[in-house]
Amino acid sequence: MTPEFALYAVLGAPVLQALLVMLVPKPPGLRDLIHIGFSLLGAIAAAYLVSAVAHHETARIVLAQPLPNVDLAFTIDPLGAMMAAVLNGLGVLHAVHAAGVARAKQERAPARLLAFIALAMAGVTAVAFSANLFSLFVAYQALALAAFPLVAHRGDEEARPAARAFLATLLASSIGLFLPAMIWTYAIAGALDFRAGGMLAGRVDALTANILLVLYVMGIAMAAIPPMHRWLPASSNGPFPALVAIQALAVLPAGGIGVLKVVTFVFGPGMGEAALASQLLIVLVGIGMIVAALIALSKQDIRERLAYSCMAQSLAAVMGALLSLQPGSFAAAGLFAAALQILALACAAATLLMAAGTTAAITGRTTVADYAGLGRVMPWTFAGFAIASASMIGMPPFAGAWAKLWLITAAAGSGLVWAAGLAAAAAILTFTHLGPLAANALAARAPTDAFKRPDGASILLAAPVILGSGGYIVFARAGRSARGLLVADLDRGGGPMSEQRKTPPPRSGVTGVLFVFCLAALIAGLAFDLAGGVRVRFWIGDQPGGRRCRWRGPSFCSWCLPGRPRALCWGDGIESQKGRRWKLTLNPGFGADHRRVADPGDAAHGAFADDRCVSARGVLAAARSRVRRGWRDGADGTAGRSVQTR
Amino acid sequence: MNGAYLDLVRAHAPLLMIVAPLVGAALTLVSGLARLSWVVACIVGGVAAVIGIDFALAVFSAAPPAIAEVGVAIYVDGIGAFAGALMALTLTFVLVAAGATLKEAGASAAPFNVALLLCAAAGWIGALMARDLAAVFVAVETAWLAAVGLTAVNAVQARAPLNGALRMLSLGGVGAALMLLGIGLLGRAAGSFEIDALPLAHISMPSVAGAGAALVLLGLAVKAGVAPLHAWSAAALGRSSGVVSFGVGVLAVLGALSVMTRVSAYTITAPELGAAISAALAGLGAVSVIVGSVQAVGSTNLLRLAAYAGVSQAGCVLLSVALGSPAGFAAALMQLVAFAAAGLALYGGAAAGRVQALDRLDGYAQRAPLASAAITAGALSLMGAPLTIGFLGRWRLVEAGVGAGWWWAAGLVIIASLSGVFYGGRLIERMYFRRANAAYEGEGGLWRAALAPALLAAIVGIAIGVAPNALLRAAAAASQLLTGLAT
Repeated sequence: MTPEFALYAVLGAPVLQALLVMLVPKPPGLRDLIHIGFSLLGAIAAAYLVSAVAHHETARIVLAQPLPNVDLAFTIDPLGAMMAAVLNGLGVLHAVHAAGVARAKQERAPARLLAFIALAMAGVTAVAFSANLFSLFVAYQALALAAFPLVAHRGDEEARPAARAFLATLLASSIGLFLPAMIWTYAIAGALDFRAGGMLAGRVDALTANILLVLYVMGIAMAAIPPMHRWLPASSNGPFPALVAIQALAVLPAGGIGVLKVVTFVFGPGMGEAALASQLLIVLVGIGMIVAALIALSKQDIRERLAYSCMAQSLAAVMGALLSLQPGSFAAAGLFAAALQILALACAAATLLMAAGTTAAITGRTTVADYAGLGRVMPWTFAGFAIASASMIGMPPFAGAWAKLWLITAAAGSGLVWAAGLAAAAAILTFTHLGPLAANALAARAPTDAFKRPDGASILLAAPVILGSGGYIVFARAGRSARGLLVADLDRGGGPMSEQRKTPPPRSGVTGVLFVFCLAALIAGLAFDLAGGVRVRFWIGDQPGGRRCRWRGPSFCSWCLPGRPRALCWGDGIESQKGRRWKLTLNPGFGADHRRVADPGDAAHGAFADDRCVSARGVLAAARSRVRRGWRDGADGTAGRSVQTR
Repeated sequence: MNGAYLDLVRAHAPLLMIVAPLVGAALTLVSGLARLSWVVACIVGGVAAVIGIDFALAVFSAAPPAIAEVGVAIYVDGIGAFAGALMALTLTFVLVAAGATLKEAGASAAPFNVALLLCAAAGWIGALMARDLAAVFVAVETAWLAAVGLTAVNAVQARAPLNGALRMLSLGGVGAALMLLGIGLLGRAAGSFEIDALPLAHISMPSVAGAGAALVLLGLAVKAGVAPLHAWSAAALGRSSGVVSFGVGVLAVLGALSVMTRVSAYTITAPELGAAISAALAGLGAVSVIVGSVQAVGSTNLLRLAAYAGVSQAGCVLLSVALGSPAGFAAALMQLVAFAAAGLALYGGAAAGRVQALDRLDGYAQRAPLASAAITAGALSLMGAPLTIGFLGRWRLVEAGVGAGWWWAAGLVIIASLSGVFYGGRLIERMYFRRANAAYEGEGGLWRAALAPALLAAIVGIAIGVAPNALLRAAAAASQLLTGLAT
């Protein structure tokens, strides 16, 4: 395998994967096999590229020349290879998990969901390997368009406006801000190819540099810099596999990678001309981190909480990149902090969201109040959740800790101690919205509901979370070699990194105090709440009026379409009452791949005349009818959807 | 023997590009039968397109062809050759695409429809090849009256298109009067009506000449639907049938913009007129971009949305021309190609399912996936998405504008693209992420093939966006060939 071939493979495999998944939506086993297999192929190719970069090999492919002197080109460099390897590696776990969730939750149009996840992975990989600003812009736009169907996947009244907001924010900012900046850069530099040391270095005055920096950073809205962050909470309406792709593996990391590439290859580290704008942006980003973490604390829906939490982490990566523009010898520390933060964010967010997805698929719970004690019945899943939370918070020895350590080091080293303070405050606030949640899930009394499996999840759902959380430890150990690889890339043009490489970050001072504080707060909080009562409470309120009961029984499910085989499946579900509203959640049995259909003559039968045309409304109506009739015995496992009836 | 005939055809190519559609129009009227007339028209359009493309390729090659003297005042320049070939090719696409909707106004009207389409195309191509301004005027009015007739003939099921035809007639009449007056003033001041003499003419009365040129361009701007002179476009296109959408929304507007580009290229290079014409075109283009973009964003009708998006695109063409440089003219030609491709894709996708109101697009992708793909490609091109010809055209405009210090033009292009994100994104969202609320009303069976031109236009738009070198070279050569080939 040559590096060029591997580059084609890592970019092309997800596209081929998407096409095949769309072409072969059934049987689900084959569809999932294709999805996982091609994800694995992409990850192997990305890993090979890391090896190639480590051996100083180069590769560049040109797909088209859409403009004179401007290629649609991709090249390997250490930064891109490292990002692609980690993201595609996590992508394999996500592929397994997405297949499991699609089965367990009986997602609508699973083939479309998986296909656009694959396309989103292709988009972020293209962003990572882009060889020039134009390719970055194209990959960015392609990624926005590929992720748009993920947000709109449910197609309901909530998803559509969210999807519109998602697309409008991302495309409008890129066309309104990024594109003018790119044109301006082209007018100044006469080319768009990335250059180590910066395309604009020595070519622009301070005013131009500052304006361009603002245009670029705000134009890359995928980094979720306020006020361009509107797309991120909007994307929370998507199904969990889509959320993992958007917030952990593709869109949000692409924003960080984009900012990092622009700062490194367009401006160049230590570019003093842009110092003013970079400081103003650091203020904005720092305040944004704190506000995002506070908003996350106020959110009771786990998806919204994690969205704002991810936003805070992504802003930390942007802060690191911006710190590298400050004059001085700590530019490399900022760049490395940004790169490490992106990778840590991807690992942590993917694990958290996959764990939340597993929980939702098995228990139907999506509010943080419902997480209490779930760790007792889903220990593996919530062990992963806790480790990911710790990494997100910045607790050693996990990957997030080192990223924050470098970030604070870079800020303090650049003379911006207040920026270090903002980062530290954001880390503490992250602790407040994730730490108690994880602790509550693990330490509180187990819920009375019983689950089908000891862990409550199939292997497809549980394994990716466990392996994802294991990634932090591996990554933390590999941090030193990763640093060497990344700094080598960022330092190709010479400059301050060479010095920085020799200088290890300080292990004491402000950083140490902050980590000790975080750790002490966690221990004190846990001790206080455990000693105060049976349930860990912190800031999590109890669900008012909630009452759960369990329904379980054998379900004889059949395919009512002519010529289809009959199958025996098992159903499981939960009924609950909240005030005057009944909630019925049916979870399909393990091994059941398609929508189940009721026996002929059943009230739901008509809704399944054609499984492709079946509407959620029809399923809800059928299930509602069952509830009205006092249905309890569970003659079949109808849907795997949440039904609310008055 | 065949080679001799081919040489003969090539020597008379400009004339044949004008005459062939006119002869075809007569034949279709004689044929009387709806489908037969359509087949004849398609063949004639195909022949004109082949001749036009072959001629354009020859013109832009190293050894330009010799053109036979036929006693007709034909003057071929780069813009005329490029835009003439584009018009002929677009005519063929339009004729094929209109096949499925030809009988909407009744079978007896079908021969008239195709005849009027052919006459309109002949008129615009004639205006692109005409030597003097009077001939340009006659050709433009021929084409315009054919477009008005086309709109009126198809105003059977609703009154709105008839109102549109009336507006076209009245506003077009005003435009014709302005144009005629302008030609008179320009000819008086420049001492000649010949278009190729303008750049080198000794203009004794620059103010009169400037006013004349402005009036000529104003008359053409009315016909091109440039804002704020586009009052006819929404009325004529909003509830029109497929054949009117293609014939007026694509062919007529493309023709008028092409002629405007050609006339502007000669007047703007005249030293006494250049600055004033440039300012006028830039102002008109800026207004058109803004007004068209705003109206497109607010549209609730797909055909009107496409019309307003065309207004915005026309503004970009005028901005390109206003630069007055070969780079600007090349950018204008690229944008004309982008307009044709996007228009064919959008109107073709809409005509396939008889879609007019935007809410009829809900779930359209499930009912008509290929038509939805065409609309998507058109929308992406209009929003200036990378790797589409729309992006390429706008990039060339921005590049030329920035080179000339016109940063505000780049800002206007960004506005056009941003508005494209909103209205294009809305189309995509409706087609792919909403549940269908109406049955598919398009043609079935073989007539589904009428969607082929729209799909082909969409594919060409993307293919050129990915590999544009050949087209860029042709546009660059055309923009530098203002001196003409032969008479």
